[in-house]
Amino acid sequence: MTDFSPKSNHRQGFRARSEPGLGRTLVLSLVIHLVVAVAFSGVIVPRFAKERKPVYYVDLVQLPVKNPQAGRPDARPTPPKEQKSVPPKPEPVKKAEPKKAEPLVVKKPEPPKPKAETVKKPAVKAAPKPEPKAVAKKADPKPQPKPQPKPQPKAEKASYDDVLAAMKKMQAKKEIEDLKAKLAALAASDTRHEAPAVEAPLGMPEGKGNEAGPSQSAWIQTFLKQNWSLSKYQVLRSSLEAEVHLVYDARGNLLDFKFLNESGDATFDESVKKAIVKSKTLPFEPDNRLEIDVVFNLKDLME
Amino acid sequence: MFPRTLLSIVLLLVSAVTAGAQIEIRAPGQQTIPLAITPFLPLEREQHPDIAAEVDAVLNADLDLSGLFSMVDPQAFLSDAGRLGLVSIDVEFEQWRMLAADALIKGAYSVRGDELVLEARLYDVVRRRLLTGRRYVGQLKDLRRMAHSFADQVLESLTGEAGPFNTRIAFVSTRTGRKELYLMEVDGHNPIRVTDHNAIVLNPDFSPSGKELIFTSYRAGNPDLYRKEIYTGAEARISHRKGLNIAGRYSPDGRQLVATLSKDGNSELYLLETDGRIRRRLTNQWAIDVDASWSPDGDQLAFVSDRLGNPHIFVMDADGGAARRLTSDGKYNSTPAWSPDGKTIAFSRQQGGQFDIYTIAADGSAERRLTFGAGNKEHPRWSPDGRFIVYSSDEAGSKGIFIMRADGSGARRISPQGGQASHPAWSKQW
Repeated sequence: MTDFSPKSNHRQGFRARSEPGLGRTLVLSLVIHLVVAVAFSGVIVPRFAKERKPVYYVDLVQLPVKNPQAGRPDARPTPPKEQKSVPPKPEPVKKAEPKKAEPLVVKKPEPPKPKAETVKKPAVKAAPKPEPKAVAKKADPKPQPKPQPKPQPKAEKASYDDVLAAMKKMQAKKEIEDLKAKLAALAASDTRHEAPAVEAPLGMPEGKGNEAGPSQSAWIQTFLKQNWSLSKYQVLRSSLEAEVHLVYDARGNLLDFKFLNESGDATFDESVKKAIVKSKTLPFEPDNRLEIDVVFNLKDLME
Repeated sequence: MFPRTLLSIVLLLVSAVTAGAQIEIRAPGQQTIPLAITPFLPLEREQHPDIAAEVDAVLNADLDLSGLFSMVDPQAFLSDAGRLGLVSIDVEFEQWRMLAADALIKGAYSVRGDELVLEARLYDVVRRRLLTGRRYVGQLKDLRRMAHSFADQVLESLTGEAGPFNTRIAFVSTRTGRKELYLMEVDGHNPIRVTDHNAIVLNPDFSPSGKELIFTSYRAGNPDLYRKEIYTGAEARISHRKGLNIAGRYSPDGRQLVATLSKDGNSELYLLETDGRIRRRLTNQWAIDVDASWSPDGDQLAFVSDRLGNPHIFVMDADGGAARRLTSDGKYNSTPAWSPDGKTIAFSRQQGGQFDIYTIAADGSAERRLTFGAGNKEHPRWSPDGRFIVYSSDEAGSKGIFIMRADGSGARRISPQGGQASHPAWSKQW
């Protein structure tokens, strides 16, 4: 009977050792298998399924931006800061032409009666103003008419600008108020959104940039959705789904499209083709040539 | 050096293509098809505005009922609406795109004496092509039929299944003071009286060929079963047994009938030959069994029975045997009607002192109430394509015939005013 045990080998003078590196290889193999299993279970490496962006409803009036800020895609655009800086407009006028401001300022003291000093200003203005100008520029006899024509147009222009600015401001305010009222009415009728969310900044929920606006893909998603017409009475099943690969050039023109998966329903697929034909030109220029996979389905179709 | 250059070129090319993530669109933004129907124009000099108006009215009513479309306001039409455009190259699709129309109907007519020629076209505005076109030649009296027929074509072109507009609805009306049988178009036009029994007529049903009707009449003093050829007017009393001879329904192949007879004292279901001879008794219960409706494959029957208490809907094999109960709610469930696709059964149910129309899946699941509001809604019957349900309702005071989509939307009265109308039945293609 032959003894093949290591001991017997040892006894026979052979060096008792297993295959070179076999143990290490086994351990290494086990580790690699474990790592691969864990990785592909989704813990480390995401699954191969393509990431589908969540469905947002984007206001197409606002064109997409490169780096959308965090916010709601359908939020009311935050009014630009410049609009808020409308009030200081009179200031530069005052600075450039102090005299222009004065005639305007004359009116100001009237409403706030408590300040007695301001009442004095008109009196002070009336006397000293002509003096320096008359002295500085022209002879005494006509001090009044000359300063008048110069400040008058400027004053008129200034007041015109001010009135215009004020009107614009009022109009903007009114528009904002109207918008607010409409949004409030919408919010009241729409149970999905709470009123405070209407004030959320325009952006994207996952936005990390600093630009107010929707992301490019969210914009295209809404654009395609709006161009897709299909009645529930045209299809027999609501489980239909088709996937299309779209290629736009950097000018936003559709270069090519192909069905990655057809739904099997001719009417459904035809409606998708029509939506693509309607969307053959994007109203904005994407950064680069754009390739998108779009899945059309009826998961949210009202029954 | 070269590999670096190559690498930078590759990187540049890669950066020049933005591969967006996959986008999912979970529902169409427009859930109706924007359709423009232009006024039909004369092919020759002679104008007939009444013809154009009639075609326009029929097409608008039919296609609106379908629920598929949102109509583009004719007030917004541009110059192309005034051009014939019977060939796609003659149509200025850009104008219709501006009006956001996806589909466009154009047409023309010519009249010579009593002969009418009607040309109709359906265009796909987005893809700038003809979807379907028809040339109808007939008499002036066929105008509405031509228009209904083209509406059917439009649905077939856009859904793959023709519409049910070129059909007839039979119904019972008291216009003459007695309940007589009438036929009318799907939109309620041109009602024609079919019987002159001067007695109560009830429960009509079309043969699958559409050439015959069976109904119950008290003409001879007893509720007997009659069969009538529509075109010839020939009529025969096929079952006049003692007691009830009611609720006859043709099998889908038209070779036999199911009816309720009470010749032995109790209402039971029987299979009859088309001449009225009894082929087989289907039920044998102490309870009342009535109002049978065939499944479209002819293998099963839905019917009403009070064998377990209140009247409920039951289903059994067409050769008799055990029945399974389908409904469990409601005080009174009646008049089941099996849908053409075999998946659903419509019926009326009394609850809260009022009848309403319900549907239930053939396996007893997914029960759904379709009608609401005041009035009793009874006697539901399906359109041959399963898109619509016709029923009778007294919601407006007097009983009338109404149509709604199979999901309960778009309900409208179709029967003409005057008299009480009830017991509708929908024919196959006319």
